[in-house]
Formats: sequence, structure tokens, C-alpha cells
Amino acid sequence: MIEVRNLTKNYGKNRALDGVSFSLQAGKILGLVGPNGSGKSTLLKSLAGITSYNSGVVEVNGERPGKHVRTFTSYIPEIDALYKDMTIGDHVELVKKFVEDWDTGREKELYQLLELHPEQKIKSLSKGYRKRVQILLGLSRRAKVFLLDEPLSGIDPLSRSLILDALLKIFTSYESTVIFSTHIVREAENMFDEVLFLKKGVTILYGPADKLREEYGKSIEDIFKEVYHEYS
Amino acid sequence: MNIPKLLSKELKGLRLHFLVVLSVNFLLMAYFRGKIGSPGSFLAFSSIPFTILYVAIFIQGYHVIKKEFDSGTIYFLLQLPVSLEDVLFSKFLAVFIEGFLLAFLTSIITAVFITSYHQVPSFPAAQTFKLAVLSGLVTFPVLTVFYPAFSVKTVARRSSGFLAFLTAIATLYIDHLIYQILSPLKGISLNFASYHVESIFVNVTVSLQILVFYAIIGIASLFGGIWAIKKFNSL
Repeated sequence: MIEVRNLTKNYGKNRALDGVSFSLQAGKILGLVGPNGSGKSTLLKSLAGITSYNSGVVEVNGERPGKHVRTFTSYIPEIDALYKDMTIGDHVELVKKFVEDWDTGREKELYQLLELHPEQKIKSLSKGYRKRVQILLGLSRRAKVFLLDEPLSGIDPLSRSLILDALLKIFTSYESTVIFSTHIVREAENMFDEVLFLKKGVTILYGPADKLREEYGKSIEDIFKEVYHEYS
Repeated sequence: MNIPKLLSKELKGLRLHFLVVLSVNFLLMAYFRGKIGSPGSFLAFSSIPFTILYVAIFIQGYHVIKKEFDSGTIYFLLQLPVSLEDVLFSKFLAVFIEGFLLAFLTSIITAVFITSYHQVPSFPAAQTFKLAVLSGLVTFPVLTVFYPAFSVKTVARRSSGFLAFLTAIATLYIDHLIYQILSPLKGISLNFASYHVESIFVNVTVSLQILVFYAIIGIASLFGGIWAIKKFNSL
């Protein structure tokens, strides 16, 4: 489903990704783990076709990233990307105009699960609630691929737990291919089928989550601490 | 086709700006009409609302792109099946449509006020319409500052200089046409100015207008280009 070979991306003189390779089968969830500045967002943006890359091969469902890939891929950015003067409902209507895989049933379910209302203005919402809105917009699609960039970072524990519940509910009830980037590993690691550890744009560890746990005799969270300690 | 959907979103966002600029221009024209006794002087002062209009459109063109990047909402649009070029093109088109309509309506308002002076023989409707369309088209060169914003792809980057050159030539031609249509008005006998003075005045006004436009476009293209290249590279 997703194939990445020797992916390299530079921002001016800075190398954001350096020869990253992995492949992910349909229906699997990949945890993309690494500290801030490790290249997680750049990798997801490259997969979504939002940013270009310098060299390497990237294929999502056999296609090069671009606007066509986003017809079946739902990308949830890390940054707050909502219009402050619009309501949640306005955002939903806007996304619905552009995508064909919108699931109204799931939209209603997520409104309830994430405790949101269509009439709420974005500017009246806290950071945690705005993140919930982004999750609602991204997960209400029956997309083949989900690219989630730090959906748990910088928000309160209640929002985090609600978002995790929503993610678990969607991803267990419907087979989708997911790449989930995070540096908060403990709460999300049970979802991962595979894990890719990135540091300064370089892959430092990659493999099936269960195999890594078995090999190291530790949780992914503890492996994360150990490998980053080793490489720092 | 996603451009019409993006365009409709952009036009919705420009409604308030459109109404504000149009109202300011109308009130200004009404004020001049009330204060100024001669049509020639009114014509000269009517260049003020037009200047306001083009400057407002110029700022708006920059603002609609900049605010999308500064607020991060560009990522909201790019998570949809649209490209960066689609987004930029629809913004350019929306601001052009707004500028065109504003200039068109301001020209009509000017014509209505001018003909309300009884010294002025009725100006043909077809000529007024042509003049209004040409004034609207002047919005295009005002927005050429955004060519660098389209330089995301190498092909566009290579052709942007040539396009800017073509636009400059086309604008000179538009200004020539506007001048030709306006020339019968030069013959209007004014309260205080002779035909000769008015002719010089119109010439100087048009020349200054062209000079100011291109100076603004040139300087802003330079800064806009640097800004756009920095922004797009950081995406």
C-alpha cells in the first residue's frame, strides 16, 4: 500500500530526511516515532504530496504523491490549520465539497464522541478542542490511507484520551492503512503494528512492534527512551 | 474540477472587503460632486477613488495569500485534493474578479456623477461601458506582483518574466484606449480651465498613473517574489 525507498528531502542546506525506506501493507498501522525535528512531519507531508522531495521513490497505493493521492488519503496536519472565523460545521461542509468518501454516519458519531457541536466557532475553542475538530475532519472520511501528524501533542489529557478512543474505534472497526506520528509513545503504542524510529531524518530502528518488544524485552516507550539515549 | 469550488470559497471571503471599498468610493464621489462645481475638476478628483481601489486590491491580493500561510490554514486546504497552484490561482482569480467589479462599478458611478453636471453633453452608454471594462482590466497588472507566487514550478518560473513583459505591454495599450475614450471629455469647457490646460492635465494624470502602477508592481514583485520563494520552500 505504501512504499518508500531512499527518500531524501532537503530544506536549503538542512537535510530533513536522509535515505528513509519502509513499506506498509494495507490495513496496517505504522507508528512513526521520534523527537521534535526528527523529520516525522516532513515524511508525512511527502507522502501526502504537500511537499516535494529531492530523491527516492514514494508510492501510495501505487501512485506518486499529489492531489490525486489525497482523494483517498486523509492527512491530519500537526499545526492548527483551521479558519478562526468559521464554525466547525462550516469546515465540515467545506471538506465535504471536495471529497467523495465522506461518511455522514461517522461524522455524527465523532461529533458525539469528541463532544463537539457544528455551531461552535473555531475562535471560541481551546487548543485541545481545535485538535478534536481536526480529528473529526480527518476521520469522518472513509479514506484508504490516514496520515496523522502528532494528533496527541500539546493537548490536555482529557482531549488526548477522547482522541485516542476515537482513533481506536475507527481503526478497529474499519480496515485502513495508517501512519501515526508521535513523540508521546506510551498512550499510542498498543495501536501500532509496525514502528519506525527516526532521528535527524535517519531511520534508527524499524520493524514489527511485537517483534521489537520481544527482541528488547521492553515496551516501545522504553525502547524509544533507550535508542534515543544511545544515539544522542 | 476543484477551482470553481475554491473560487466560490474565496469570493465569499472577499464580500465584506468589496462592500467597504465600494461604499468608501461612492461616498467620496458623492462628496466631490457636492463640493466641486466643474466637471473637469470632478474628473481630476475622481482619480482618488480609483487610486484607493487599486491600492486596496493590491493589498488584498497580498493579504489573501499571506494570511493563509501565516495562520497555517494552507494546510487545511492542502489536505483536500487540491494543489498549491489551484489554491493560488483561485485566490488570484477571486481578487481579480473583485477588482474588476469594483473598478467597473466605480467607473459607472463616475460617469453618472459627471453627466449630472449639465455642462457635459451625454456621454454614450457604449463608451461608458467600454471605459468601465477597461478600468476593470487594469486590476490585472496591479496583481502581476503575484506572478512569483506562481513560480512554484520551473516552467512557470521561466515564463513569469515573459508574462510580466506581455502584461506591461497590454496595460500600456489599455491605458491608451482609456485615454482615447476619455479624449472627448477634454473638450468640455470648464469653469476655470481652458481646453489646453485640461488636455495637459489628463496627459499628466494618465502618465503618472502608469508610472506609479509600474513602480509599485516592480518593487512589490521583488519583495513578493522573495517572500513567496521562502514560504513555498518551507512547506
